[in-house]
Amino acid sequence: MSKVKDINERTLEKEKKDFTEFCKFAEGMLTAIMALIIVGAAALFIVIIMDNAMKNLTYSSSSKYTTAGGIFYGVYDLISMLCFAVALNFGVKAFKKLKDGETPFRYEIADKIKAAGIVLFATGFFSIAAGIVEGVLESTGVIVVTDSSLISIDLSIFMWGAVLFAVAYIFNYGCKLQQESDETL
Amino acid sequence: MEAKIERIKYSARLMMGLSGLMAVLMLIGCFACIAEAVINREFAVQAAKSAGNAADCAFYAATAFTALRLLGNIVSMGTPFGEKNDKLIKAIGIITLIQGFASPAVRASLLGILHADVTYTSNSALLFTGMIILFIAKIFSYGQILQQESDETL
Repeated sequence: MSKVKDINERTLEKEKKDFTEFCKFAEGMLTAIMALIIVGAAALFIVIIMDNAMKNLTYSSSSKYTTAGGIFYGVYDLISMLCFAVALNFGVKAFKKLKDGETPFRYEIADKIKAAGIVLFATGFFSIAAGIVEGVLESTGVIVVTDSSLISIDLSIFMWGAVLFAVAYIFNYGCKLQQESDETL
Repeated sequence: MEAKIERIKYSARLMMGLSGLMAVLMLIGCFACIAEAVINREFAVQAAKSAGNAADCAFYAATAFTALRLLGNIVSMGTPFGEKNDKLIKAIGIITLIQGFASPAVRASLLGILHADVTYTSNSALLFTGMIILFIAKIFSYGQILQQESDETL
């Protein structure tokens, strides 16, 4: 009997170790992606400023649009990148908390997942708004797009936002079960 | 708690509709890509690309069908931590991981046979997503234990 108990304990310990290892890995991966996005955003910011100062040399040097268009698309890309960085930051925080605690079902983790979902939804709505503004600017002649629309509305962002909302809700339910379990003990 | 369960059931039903729609669309997409490959059989490179797209659609359809089963389980059992749910989530994770490796491999090997200029790169976004899904499956296994405890207490 004690041997079975010993094996169970060892299995649990191993599972917990694997869990912590994966949390560390995911946290590192997300941090690296976030850092890359931030570096990219900083580089883009410099390019936009240079573009404005040197007129049609860098970001808008493609034949597809004018300098005004270059700045518009540059700012759009910059805001999109920052939104993704914020969403990833919530992911990093969630994994950090997952790694540290005894149980994954904690309200603070559910809140972080929900916040990441909200940011993804906001990014999706922002791209829709930018698409509308692009249309208006193009029709008034402020920007000239020789190709078709350059802002693509990615519907998968909404799907990922919805999935994160669902996971957050399930985590909330898990928190209630955890609370019940702790109270029973 | 009852209200929470009702909301979970309602959301699961809504997502079942979306998953069902996605599964049907992906199946249609898969057949359309196969048809495109057959029509373009004389233009071998184009046909190989269509075959790769068909493989992608087939993987997405498999994911959507598994998600449909998972959501059906949630609706019928009234809890996200029902029996077998962790295994279904694990299956979705494994399908996503295989897709991340296999789908570009199908495309690259078909194009390689045709001596087209091609390099194999796995879909890293899908690989990472697959790993996160497998991780969620692990959390669900723990949730199942809690659910069992809760049911036994009641």
